[in-house]
Parts: sequence; C-alpha cells; structure tokens
Amino acid sequence: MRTLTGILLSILTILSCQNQDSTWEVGPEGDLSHIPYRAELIQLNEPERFVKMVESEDNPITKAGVDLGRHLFYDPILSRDSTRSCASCHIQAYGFSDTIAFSLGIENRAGQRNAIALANLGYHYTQFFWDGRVKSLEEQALIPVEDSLELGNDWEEVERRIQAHATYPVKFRQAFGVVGVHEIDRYLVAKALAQFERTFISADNKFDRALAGRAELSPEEERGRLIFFDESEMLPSGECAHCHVGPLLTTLTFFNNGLDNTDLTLTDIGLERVSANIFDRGKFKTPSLRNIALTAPYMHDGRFATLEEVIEQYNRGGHYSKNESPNIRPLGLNEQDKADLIAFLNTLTDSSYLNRPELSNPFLP
Amino acid sequence: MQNKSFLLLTLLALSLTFFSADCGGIEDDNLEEYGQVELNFQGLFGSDPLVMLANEYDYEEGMDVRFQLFQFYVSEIRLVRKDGQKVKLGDIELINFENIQSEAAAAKGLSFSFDDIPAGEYQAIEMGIGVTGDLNEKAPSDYAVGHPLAIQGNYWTGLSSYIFTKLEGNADLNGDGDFTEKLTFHIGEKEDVPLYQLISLDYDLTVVKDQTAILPLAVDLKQVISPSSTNFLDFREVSQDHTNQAAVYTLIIDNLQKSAIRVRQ
Repeated sequence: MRTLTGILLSILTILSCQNQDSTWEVGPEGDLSHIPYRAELIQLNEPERFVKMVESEDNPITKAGVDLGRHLFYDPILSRDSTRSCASCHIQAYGFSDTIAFSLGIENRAGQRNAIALANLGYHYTQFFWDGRVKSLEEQALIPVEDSLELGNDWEEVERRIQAHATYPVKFRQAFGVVGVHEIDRYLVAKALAQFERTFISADNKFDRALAGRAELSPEEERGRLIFFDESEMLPSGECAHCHVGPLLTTLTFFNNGLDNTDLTLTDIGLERVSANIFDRGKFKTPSLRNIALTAPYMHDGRFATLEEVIEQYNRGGHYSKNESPNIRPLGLNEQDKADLIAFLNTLTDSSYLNRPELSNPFLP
Repeated sequence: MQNKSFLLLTLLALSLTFFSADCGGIEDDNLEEYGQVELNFQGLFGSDPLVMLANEYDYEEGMDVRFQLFQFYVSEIRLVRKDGQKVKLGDIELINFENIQSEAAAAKGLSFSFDDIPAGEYQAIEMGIGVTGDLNEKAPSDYAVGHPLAIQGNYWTGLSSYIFTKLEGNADLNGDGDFTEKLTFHIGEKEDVPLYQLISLDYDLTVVKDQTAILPLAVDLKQVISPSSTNFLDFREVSQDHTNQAAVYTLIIDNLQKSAIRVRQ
C-alpha cells in the first residue's frame, strides 16, 4: 500500500513539474512577479561560412523568448478577425514564403507585394522589406499588424488581447521578466518575433554540403554552378553572382534588375518610396536564392511563375533604365545552359530547414 | 656616519638629475601628444566633379559616359614622418563613390578619420591600392558587419579574392544620347595576376595635439580609363571585364595605382 502510494505521489510530482508552466496563473491586478523569470540564453549553431549574426543588444536570444515568438508567429491573434498570422504568408514548407504573387491578408485582401522567403534573417545587416523601409527585425515585426491588407489590426487591440490571454502573460513574464500584464506591449511582441526569426538558419542544402566536401554536384549542377558564378571562361556567365553571392546568396543591397523601364511611370517605385531619391526608383532588395525552387512566384510582384521565366528575363537583358544595374545584360545562354543553371538552383533547397520541428507550428499536435 | 650622509646626498642629487633631465627633447614630448587625421577623397572626371548617374561626361571619339559605381580598396595606409618613420593610420578602407549623386556631395567628398595619430610633422602618405596579400586570404565571414572586408558583394568566392576595384556605368557609343551600352569592370587578384601595389604621395602635414589635420586627395577617374586620347578603354570594343583581359585590367589598375590619385592643393 505504501509502495503504491509512493509510486502515485511520484507520478503526480513528475506530472506537476512537466506542467509547471501551465499551472502558473496571473495574480491579482495582472501581477506576474510570482512567476519565475527565465533568461536562459541560446547559443545558436551558426554556420562558419556566414558573417557573424547581427546582435541586438537589447534583445538577446533566449529559450523563453524564442518559444514565445514561435507561438506568436503562428497565432492569428495578431489579426483583426483572428484568421491570419505571420505564418499564413510565410509557410515553412515553401521556405517561409507562399505560393501566390500577392499574399492575401484578412478578408482575402490582396497585398501589394510578394511575400519574401524568410531565411537567415539574423544576418541581414541592411534594411528589411522589398523597399528597405526598416532597419531591424524588431521594427519589421511592427508593420504587418496594422497593414490593412495584411493583418488589418491595431496594436492597442493586440496588446489588449494578449494581456487578457490565458497563457501569453506567463510566457511574456518568462521571456522578458515583466512584473505585470500592463507591461506587455507591441515592442515586446516584436522582440519575441525577432528572437524566433533569428533562429531561421538555413545552411544545409546540397550546394552547402558540396562546399563542405560532403556531397558532389552532378555534371549538370556543376556546369550550372560555373555559369552562376562565372567561373569558367569556356561557358557564358549568368552574371548571377553580382547580386546573389556568398553564403546568404544575396548581397542584401538594392538593385534595379531591369524588370521595367523605370524612366516611365511605375506603380511600385520600390526603394525610392523610402529614400525619396529618384535614382533609387525601381530598386528592390536582392532576395536570397536559398530554397529558391520552392518560393515561386518570383520578384517583388510575383510576376514570374517559374525559374525558367526568370532566367529567360535575365537572358534577354532586362529593360533599360537610367539606373538599371549594368550587370543586367543579354547573357547568350542556350537551352542547355539554362537547364543546367536551373539544375544548380535546385541544389539550393534545404530540406532540413523546411522540416525543422523547432520552426514548425506549435499549435499543431 | 658622515660617509653615510654624503652617500645619501649624492644618491639624492643623482636621482634629481636623472628625473629632471630632458630625455628626448621637444620631438619626444610631441610623441606623447596625439591628434586626428582625416583623409578626404574627392572624385573627379578630368576637371569636373565625379557624380554618379546625374552627370554625363564627354569621352573619347564621340562617345559619352555616365557612371553608377566607382570604388576601390586602399590598404596599409600610413603617414611618413619627416624623419622617415611611418605611422599607421589604418589597415583597410573602401573608397566608394556610389552615393555621390550630386555636385554638392562630390564637393564634400568621402572622409575617413583616424584617431590617436602622434603629433608632429609629416611629409607623405603611403597606401596600397587594393587588398594586401594577408588580408586577401581572409573572407567576409572573418569580419563583423560594418568592416570594409565584410561586404560579400566585394568578394569572389570562386577565386578566393576580394574585388580591388569596381567600375560600372553606361556609355553612349555615338553621341546620340542613348546610354544603353552597359559597362562593368571588376578587377581583383587571381593567383597568377598579382595586382596589389603601394603608392606614395608627397604632402607636408602637421598633426597638432587634439586637432584634426586634413589631407585632401583627388581621384581622377578619367585618368583611370582614359589617360590620353591614344590610350583609353574603348567601350565600342570592350564593355565588361572580370580580370579576364590583361590589356583591360592592367590599364585600369595601373592607372588607378600610378596616376589617378593625387594630393589636392
């Protein structure tokens, strides 16, 4: 009898420890101070080839912060009608982009640009968004909530919902040490999202493994690689590596890549909208090509459905404008060259990233 | 007792003499004082200010040219003292005229400041055009964001080399106002093509304690690509080079190193 009691008590103790987080409750008048504050820093497994991650001095990456950010990323609580979340347009299976030209916000409102694929964001030391309107992940996270074509909400409502939520206040206490629900605000939400997004590290595609000597490119893929990086005097240059270079496969800078004649009227002027500099008209942030095979459609407006169309555009040499990058020029690629280039681009898919459980929806079983 | 006192007094006198002596003269005192030095690079195209995109320039044989990007690395930047000793200013900087898009910006130029420079008289500045061998063995991942060598777009992964200089723009080949000929010249160092070179420019500069001494420099892009009417990059023949064509890249890098950079008076 005593043995059975002891066993039962042990089981109950173990279960209570495992469920400790969910047993914490908000105290009177939103008091959270009785809940332990866990500031357990995470050391990310950063690839050696990458430039060091841009650190945020006032937002270090913690276990609790990442967990909170992951929940917020997938939670439609941020949207006005509770139907859309960040993950609605940034879908893990598609390299954290989606599959349509203009992503859909609440009430299926079409956005103004294609959802950028998210990978290695913590290494982006230039601006964010296609038009570079903000300089940090924390600032970026503030924008979509109040964009009427995206989450269509207002931050005061979001703050109210989260402060009144059954479990979020506890998570905010554990992530940021807030002592009362009234301290939970949009800036902490943005910080949590940014912490989570900094864990989006993608560095294990076939090309990465080939560079590390752990895989071998096929002859077609290798030929495509030579064209991509202009490493063979016997092959035409794809001129790709002027903009898509290095471990991130982007210079992170802004170019006019010849999509339109920007000397004429444009519906989307890109970087000029932010800089007010006419020489920035039609310039957009160079996206990474990691997982590119999965992130169609392509360009800031999703105008190209396939990689074949993208390559054809570049092969033609683009539309001349005064500020078009001179690296956009007719390439002279034949059908074999184009096929091999696509074979190489297909080696940039990182399956481990697309299936990584730590980045997946925590609300699903 | 008297001997002891005499010995103590002698030691005291010697100590006072030693510590009160002038150990190095005025020059040594100056070594303990520091000022700042600012290098200011102004871009030119001949006698005209070098302005990206906004300005067009007469070129050779009826051609006109317009630029979008002109940049180059300088390494081992040192001042030469009057006594021949050299004082390091910095290891590497990127001189990048890409954002010089107005004449006002061109007049202002690109400035690089260096602190804790020993006060005194200097007679010249030395710098290497390009990236030194040691630094060229590094890669962008070796540097923190913001360092001149952390810029991935300035590095050739396949060649394991930085791009020493980039020149990009457009040419109008026949003066009809159509600038559709695209120009891209990226010069780096391949294994069998050593291109790094040190230059020295005479200039009398006085660095005063806690003050900034400005060393004004001019970089004449016309001198790089068109030093004379019989020796110029003919865009009708060549509009692109990635250190493939010796005649092209040696013209560019030699001129940049030997004649394009001068002290402004």
